This record gives sequence, C-alpha cells and structure tokens, in this order.
Amino acid sequence: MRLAPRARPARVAVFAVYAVVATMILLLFFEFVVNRKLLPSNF
Amino acid sequence: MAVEPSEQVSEASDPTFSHTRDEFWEWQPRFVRRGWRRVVHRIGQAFMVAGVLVLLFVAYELWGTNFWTKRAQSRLRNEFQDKITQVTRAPTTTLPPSTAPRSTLPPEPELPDAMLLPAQGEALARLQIQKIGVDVIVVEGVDPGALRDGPGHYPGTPLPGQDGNVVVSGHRTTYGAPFHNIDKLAEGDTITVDTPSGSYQYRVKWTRVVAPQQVDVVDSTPGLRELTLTTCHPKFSASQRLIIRAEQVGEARPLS
Repeated sequence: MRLAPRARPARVAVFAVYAVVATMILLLFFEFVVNRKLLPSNF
Repeated sequence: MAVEPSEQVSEASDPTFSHTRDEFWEWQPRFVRRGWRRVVHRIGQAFMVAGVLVLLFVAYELWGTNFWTKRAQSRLRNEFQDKITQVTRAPTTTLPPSTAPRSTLPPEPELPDAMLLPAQGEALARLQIQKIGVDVIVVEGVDPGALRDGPGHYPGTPLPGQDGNVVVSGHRTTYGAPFHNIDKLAEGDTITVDTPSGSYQYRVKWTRVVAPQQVDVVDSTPGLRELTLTTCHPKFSASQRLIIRAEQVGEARPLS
C-alpha cells in the first residue's frame, strides 16, 4: 500500500516511537524478569 | 490514513492488494481462511514470533547485558578511586594476623580500615591483565548480583597481599565478559592487582579445566600468596570451570 507523500513522515515517526517503546519494554523484560527472576545461571 | 485514489484496486482484479488499510492487513491466502488450516496458520505465526523473541534474547544476553556492567564499572571505578584517595589521607591500621602458618614471605602489608571488610558489591581492587586487555574493578562477593557488576572476590578468601589463596570469579560471556579470553593466559603471564594498600604482581603458574564440583581449587594455600581466577568453560556453557592459578611476585608496590 502506497501512502500519500504527506502521510509518510508521520507514519515513520509513529513507527519509530513504537519501536523504541517496544525495545525498552523487551530490554527491561529480559533483564529484570528473565535474567534476574527466571534464570539463575552464570555463564 | 490518506490513500491516493489511484491506488484503489478491486479485490477481484488483484486479491493480494486491497485498497483500505484494514483489508490490507487482514487479507490472507484463501487456503488459511477455513477450519483447521486457520488454526495451523496461527500456530505457525506464534512459533515465528517466539523464534524472533528467542533470537532477540540471545542478542541481548551477548551484547545487551554489557550495558549494565559498563554502567556499574563506571560507578565502581569512581568508588575505588575515592577509596584510594581516602586511604592516602587517613592513618593506617594493621590487619589482624593471618591464621595461616607463617612462612619466609615478607610481612603482610599494613592495610587501612577501608580495605579490611568491603561490603558486598563494593569495589575491592583493580584487576589488570595486559595480555588479554583486561582492566576491571573487582567487587566483593560472588552472588549473581555482584558478578553482574564485575569479577567478584570470594568472601572468606584472603585479600590481595595476604597469605593464602585470593579467589576471584568472573563471567566468561555476558555482562561485560571480563574473563572471556582468559584461556589465552599461559604460565609466566603477569596479572596485576591494585588495592588501596598497593599494587601486587602475580605470575601465572598453571591453568586447568575442572568440574564445577571440584571446589578444592579455592582452598587456602597456607604459606603461599596466590591468586586464583575462576570462570565458566567452555565459552557459552557452564558445564566446567577454567582455573588460572598465579603466585605473587615481590612485594606491594605503591600505586602509580
């Protein structure tokens, strides 16, 4: 689907915000839930 | 969402390309629209999402965890520097005598109060191994939280410069991987441990791979001043332990 030219920057910005938020949530989940609560291993 | 009128194509003429956003995202091949095939399709999607998450987690473990260690090491380095500054200003006290039998070694160094009993997770020493590019602050304790910050000093083992076996453990991979290349050390290589009481040089005596249950490698070595580095082996596995044993060479030198 091609968007109207004026709609592209807004959509890219929204996608970037989503990506940053999702990355932060994943990072915190991996560290504080998976590593510190679920996985006791020390490699 | 603005769509150019020229983009409007009927589904009949092009089933893979619809003219509204909702139809675009909800379009599926005809074969997945009915019955159990739809279920299998969803399960497949779930597996793909799970696979991507697992790959992201692996990437996080290998590279992302370094973020936490770098931050902690920066804090510990400042803490260690402050400790050295305090020590150079404060009067010194003497360590309680070691319980190990005395040997012909030079007397143990006089250590300041700040060096005697560092709290769990506090900066204890600076470990440098030039050959493999290691320069890290060692913390007190070997629990997972302490090892996330840097290599940890086994509680109960002597401090650098004291008689006995100083034991330091560190991650081989993840969390900065301070001991990643420690397998490259060989007999005769030099390890430097800086503490507020001075700088100590150790020379590698031997390296050995042992089972995790073989804990005698951390036993005391009365009459000797030794340093033992332990880490997991092989890389990316905790099935064995790699042990580096070094002996102190000379006496404490003033910190440069």
